[in-house]
Amino acid sequence: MGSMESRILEIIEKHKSRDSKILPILHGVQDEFGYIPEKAIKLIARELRMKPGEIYDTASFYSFFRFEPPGKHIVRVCDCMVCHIKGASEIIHRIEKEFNIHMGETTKDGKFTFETVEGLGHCDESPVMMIDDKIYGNLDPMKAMKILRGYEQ
Amino acid sequence: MNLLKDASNMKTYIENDGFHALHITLEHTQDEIIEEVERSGLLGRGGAAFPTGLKMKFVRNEKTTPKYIVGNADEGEPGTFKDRVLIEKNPFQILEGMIISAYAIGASKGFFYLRYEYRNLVKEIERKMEEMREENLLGKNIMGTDFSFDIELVLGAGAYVCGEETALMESIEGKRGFPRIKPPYPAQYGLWGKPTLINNVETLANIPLIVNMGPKKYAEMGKEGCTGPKLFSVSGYVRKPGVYEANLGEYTVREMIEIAGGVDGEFKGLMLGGGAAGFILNGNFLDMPLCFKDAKEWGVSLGTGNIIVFNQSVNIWDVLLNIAKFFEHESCGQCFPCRYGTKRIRKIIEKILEGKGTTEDIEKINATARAMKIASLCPLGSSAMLAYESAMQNFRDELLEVIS
Amino acid sequence: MISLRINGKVVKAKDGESILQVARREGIDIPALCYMVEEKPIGSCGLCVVEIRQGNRKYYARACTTKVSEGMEIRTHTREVEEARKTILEMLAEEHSEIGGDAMKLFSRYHVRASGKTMRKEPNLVNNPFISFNPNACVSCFRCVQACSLKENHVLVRENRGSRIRIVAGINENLKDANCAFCGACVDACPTGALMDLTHREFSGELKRITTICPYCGVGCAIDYFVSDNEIIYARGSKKGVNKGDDCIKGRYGWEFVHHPERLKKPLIKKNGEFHEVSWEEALEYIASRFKKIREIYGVDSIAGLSSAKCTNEENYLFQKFMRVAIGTNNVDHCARLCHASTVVGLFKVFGSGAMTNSLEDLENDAELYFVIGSNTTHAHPVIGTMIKRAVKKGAKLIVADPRNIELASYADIYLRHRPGTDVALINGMMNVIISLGLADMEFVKNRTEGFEKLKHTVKRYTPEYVEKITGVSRDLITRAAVMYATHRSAIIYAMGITQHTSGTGNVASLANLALLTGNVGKPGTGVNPLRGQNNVQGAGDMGALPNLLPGYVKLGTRKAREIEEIWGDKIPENPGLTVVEMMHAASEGKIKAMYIMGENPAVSDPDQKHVIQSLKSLEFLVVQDLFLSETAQLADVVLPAASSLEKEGTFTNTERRVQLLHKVIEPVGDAKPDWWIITNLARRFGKNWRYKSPEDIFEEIRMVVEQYRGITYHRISDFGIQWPCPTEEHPGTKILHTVSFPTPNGLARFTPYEYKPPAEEPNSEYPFVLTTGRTYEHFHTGTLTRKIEGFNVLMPRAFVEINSEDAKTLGIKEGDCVLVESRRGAIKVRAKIADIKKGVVFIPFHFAENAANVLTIDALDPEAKIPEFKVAAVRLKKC
Repeated sequence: MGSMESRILEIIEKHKSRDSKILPILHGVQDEFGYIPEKAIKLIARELRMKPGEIYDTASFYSFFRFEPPGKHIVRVCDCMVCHIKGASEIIHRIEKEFNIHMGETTKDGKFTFETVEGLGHCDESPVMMIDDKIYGNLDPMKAMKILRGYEQ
Repeated sequence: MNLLKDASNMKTYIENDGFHALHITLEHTQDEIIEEVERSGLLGRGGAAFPTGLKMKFVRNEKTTPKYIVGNADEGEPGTFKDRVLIEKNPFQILEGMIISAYAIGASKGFFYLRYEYRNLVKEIERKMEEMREENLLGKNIMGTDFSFDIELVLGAGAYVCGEETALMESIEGKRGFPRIKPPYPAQYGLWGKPTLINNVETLANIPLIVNMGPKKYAEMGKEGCTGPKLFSVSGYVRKPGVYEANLGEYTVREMIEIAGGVDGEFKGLMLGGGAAGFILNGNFLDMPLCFKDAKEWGVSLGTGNIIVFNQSVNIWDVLLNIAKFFEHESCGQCFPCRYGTKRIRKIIEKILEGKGTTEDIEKINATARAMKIASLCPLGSSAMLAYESAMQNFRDELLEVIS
Repeated sequence: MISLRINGKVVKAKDGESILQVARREGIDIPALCYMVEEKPIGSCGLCVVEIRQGNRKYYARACTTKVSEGMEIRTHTREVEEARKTILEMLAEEHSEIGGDAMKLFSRYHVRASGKTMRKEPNLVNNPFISFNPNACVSCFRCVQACSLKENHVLVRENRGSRIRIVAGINENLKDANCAFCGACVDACPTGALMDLTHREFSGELKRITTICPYCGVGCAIDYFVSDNEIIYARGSKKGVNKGDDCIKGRYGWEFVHHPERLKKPLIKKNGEFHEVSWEEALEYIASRFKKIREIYGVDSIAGLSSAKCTNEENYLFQKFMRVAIGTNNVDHCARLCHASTVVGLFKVFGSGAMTNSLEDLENDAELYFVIGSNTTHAHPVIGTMIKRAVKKGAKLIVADPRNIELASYADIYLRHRPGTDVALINGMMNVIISLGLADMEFVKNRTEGFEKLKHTVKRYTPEYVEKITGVSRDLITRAAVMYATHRSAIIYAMGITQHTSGTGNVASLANLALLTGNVGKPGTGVNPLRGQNNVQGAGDMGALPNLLPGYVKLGTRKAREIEEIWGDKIPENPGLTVVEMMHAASEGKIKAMYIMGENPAVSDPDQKHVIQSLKSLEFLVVQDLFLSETAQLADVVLPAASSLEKEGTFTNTERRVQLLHKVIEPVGDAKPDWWIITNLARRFGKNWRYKSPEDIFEEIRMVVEQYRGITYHRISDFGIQWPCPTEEHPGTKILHTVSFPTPNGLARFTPYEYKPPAEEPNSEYPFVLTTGRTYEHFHTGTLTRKIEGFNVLMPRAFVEINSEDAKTLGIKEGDCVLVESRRGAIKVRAKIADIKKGVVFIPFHFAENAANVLTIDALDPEAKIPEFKVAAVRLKKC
């Protein structure tokens, strides 16, 4: 725990002097731990002289901040209107079936967390998904599964 | 190409007249620059098409300091990806436009607000800004003048509503992205209560063009009432989806679809302006020129310059459900009409898609839409029903066919 | 003035007003659900939407957030807006099944009925004794969130967004874990009945509202009590008081003790070790005869009395008068000895008057900087704590000095964590910096003070380097604090962390010196401001419940004392009496044989508890007058049931010298009597022909005796109190003391420098920790009242010892472990609480008789004020 605390404090220290401090700190914490632990919210509040609730009020608003540890890989399947009309639903169904899971959940082995998102901004390659920070475009269910199987190794 | 030129490294950019406009700017007064922008006729590229020069003037006239400038790269409309491509291809032009605007209004600090989904661009943008600092194009005493200005990159965290200017400012301030009640407007009460100029990044990229070529020549691109180059995101069922640059008024919708390779399959309709807060149109609109002014006359809006093409495989109710889900998810929840209205509409459309829709349901959607339109706190709530309403006009028979 | 039309009617309005404000003034009923604070409309519900035409523009906007402007034409009830309102309400009803409260009226007005699904899962934020939350009724209008943030608590916040948005406490915790202050502002704000008071009692019949002064701390908040059939149903902070509608957990929920089954209802006499109920007649006769007998055998000074800062001015006045003229001794004192005796002495020495110099109002509005030292304001004086937090949020500066990382420290610009007992050194160090940097207000020093050279000489050696060694605060922080204090309009706020030391008088005087040096006295937003602990600790002193001073701080044996004798028609003894701690020593030595204790609990409140209990046991006769059979009352021979402050009239004087009138909320329970009645009837048995029929009769006499109160009448303070000094009935009272001159013979303040002296008991290898004691937010003093309240016991069930995390690690102690804390005087076992407290320092609250902190404390006294050193004792800790 000690090291987690010191790591969080380092992240806070790094971004504290920025005008926008809170979002960069939250991103820093999530980049480090994959999610925003309660401890981090309390430390951020303490260091910025705010109340933990104020930090949580902000953080819980944004859909990409999470408060539980995610799987090893985060898979975000775009279900924006463009991807949708070009077959995103089939991809989603296929994933849900193959992994026996619902979107928004993490696989039991902790390998994947699946989410749908509303616009990855790669509509020229629709349908698309993002695995961690990498974009995969022009998908169909089979292609998507093949890519995911590759990440399983 | 004026915007989409491939100039992602500084050397290329400078070879292409990069930072020349900044150099010119620093030899002019603030008011001279604003006047040039005004005379260019530049309208904001983020969707609202507000005159950029006028907005600059508002901020310039405020006495309070410090002043801020924000580059809005939170493009969240489905089907819109022009800002991403612009940032990837020609980032310096945006940053240069931001510095010029900052000089003109007297801002000392700028924020580049990037949507979370583009996080893999963060490092690149930050490196570019660092290069500019090294070259004394950003930071203290830019190009050896008294003018100091720096930019902070802020990464969003997944909230469509933060594209709305006041919600975006709340977000930069570290709060939840609840749009503010206007007035006061950002020009008077922006970031941390200080006068703030907020522009879409594509708008900013137009500023160096205006300074370089002069407002008159700039205005010759395009036509009266809609001048300059514009980026169009074309996607959906076209053969070559992508971002295309054209002068405003240069092409019709049909021609733009042709440029993007033509329809993939048999044409059914299109969505214009944005993939959520946009218009669902039929073939009658194919001959509309892509110009803010013409669009207005046709009763629609160009929005962010977004065209999503539907072929015959697309079910309009299904599209409307997708849009309803989008708004339910992206409503900030601050005000009741939008918070409850978006959810209610999604539920009704789901019912309709199950084949259980009745005329009462249609009336309920209409009443909800009216309440959202007049009582929502920000444009998200009042624009959430644009797609439905336009679809009802343009695909009425198809939509009502499933209603009993 | 702006002219506009609403529904066709021409209406005038002020610039900056909202449409809703103007419309409501005109009697137009625009519906709204989220609207609460005029200046800060939330704008969530959208119900107040109206149609606006201006020029040829027509649009819709919220009436609450839209300012009026010239020429507006507003229509408030068009078909369109009424339809939108109905739609919004229908949507609410579809989602929430149990909407109640004021919102119900809107629903019936628009003929909308709830149909939403009912959730049965308990939300996290419940699970506390005071506030319930029904998610089926909550529409997330954010009024509670706004109320909580206006209190600067920020406990209730929003989670998620869109249709999933909801209200949570902290990081989705229960209210207690989220550090809720239980001020109840959220309950008052809730329009749908989602948030409710759990303590709200069932009642039938009519509800009466009676406003009186809170029975707890010295802030003196006015509280509205809602009463039915002689029973309190619920309470709220009153908008009419100094608190302007604010309240704290104790003011709002701390009244249940009045209805507690253990209230004393009959006089009790102890026979063969057991109490027996007797009549008032028998009890008073018995007391009189025993006191007389003891006086006969051992002399007048063998009897001592403890008056009470919890009783009214009238009662304190009568009590000391009784001791002085009926018994014939000056052996009268009260618990101010234990809290602010050093304030009275210290401020008297420097300023010539021993009270808070400024007012809450000017501190709130005019101070640019607060220097809070030795005061855990947000816990002990919560309403003032909130005031400071709000001021800081608005831009005021804050310096906090405290060994514990108290809540205010997190709001501070500069936080000085000094070793307990080193205050004189710290303050001298600040003065050293101020003088050496030329930041002293020499104009003020020259015109308004004397003794500057003496001060300069004393503080000369207290360089930041030297002071750093003593206090453990870095020289840099000392310098920055000094500069910040000296360069602002600064107010000092302090409490027991300053006074309860063997150097208490020196601490207080040094703060006064600091204020003089920088000219921060006699002006709005400045001064030296002791926060008084009890609701009437200021008044008890004003009334002369002191062994050396008569009412109005008149010295014994002076010309003024003789004037009082004349009014009383009785002789006043001239030799000063004993103070609280001295009485206990005299009792154990056999010099004091009998005591009369009114509403105090020395068996728990006084230092070195073992010794105090021994002393009380060694008395031949002890009379205790109280609401409950307190730890002290259990040792008594006679116990008299007293009426609580909610059951009587009289006046309290709050911390800012404001004399406030009490209104009787309910009739006394059982056979309990007001203390003034008891004293009067006892005095008659000593041949005193006292004819007081009401507290007002007594107050009229007080006005004759006490100069400071002369202009105050019950009539004048029936709505809102007046601050003394108030010499005539035309005088408005005095908000700020010493504006022109000081009440000293030559009108000048006297710099009174002190040298730093270490505390009486310093840690050593055998007892390596410094123990400091104090209060918690939930409890009050010895817990006689607050520990009768179930909810407070749930929130704060037992004593604990706060330990620094590193110290705990060294000792192998973990959170919640049982710890044996030992001093040279005794030992107690308490639970460990790992806290942000200075290394080497531990803290224990003193409310808990079963693990009494005062078993450990030392009865070493300040030589001048005779206040014990509750704040420093050497202890050792062991895991048990």
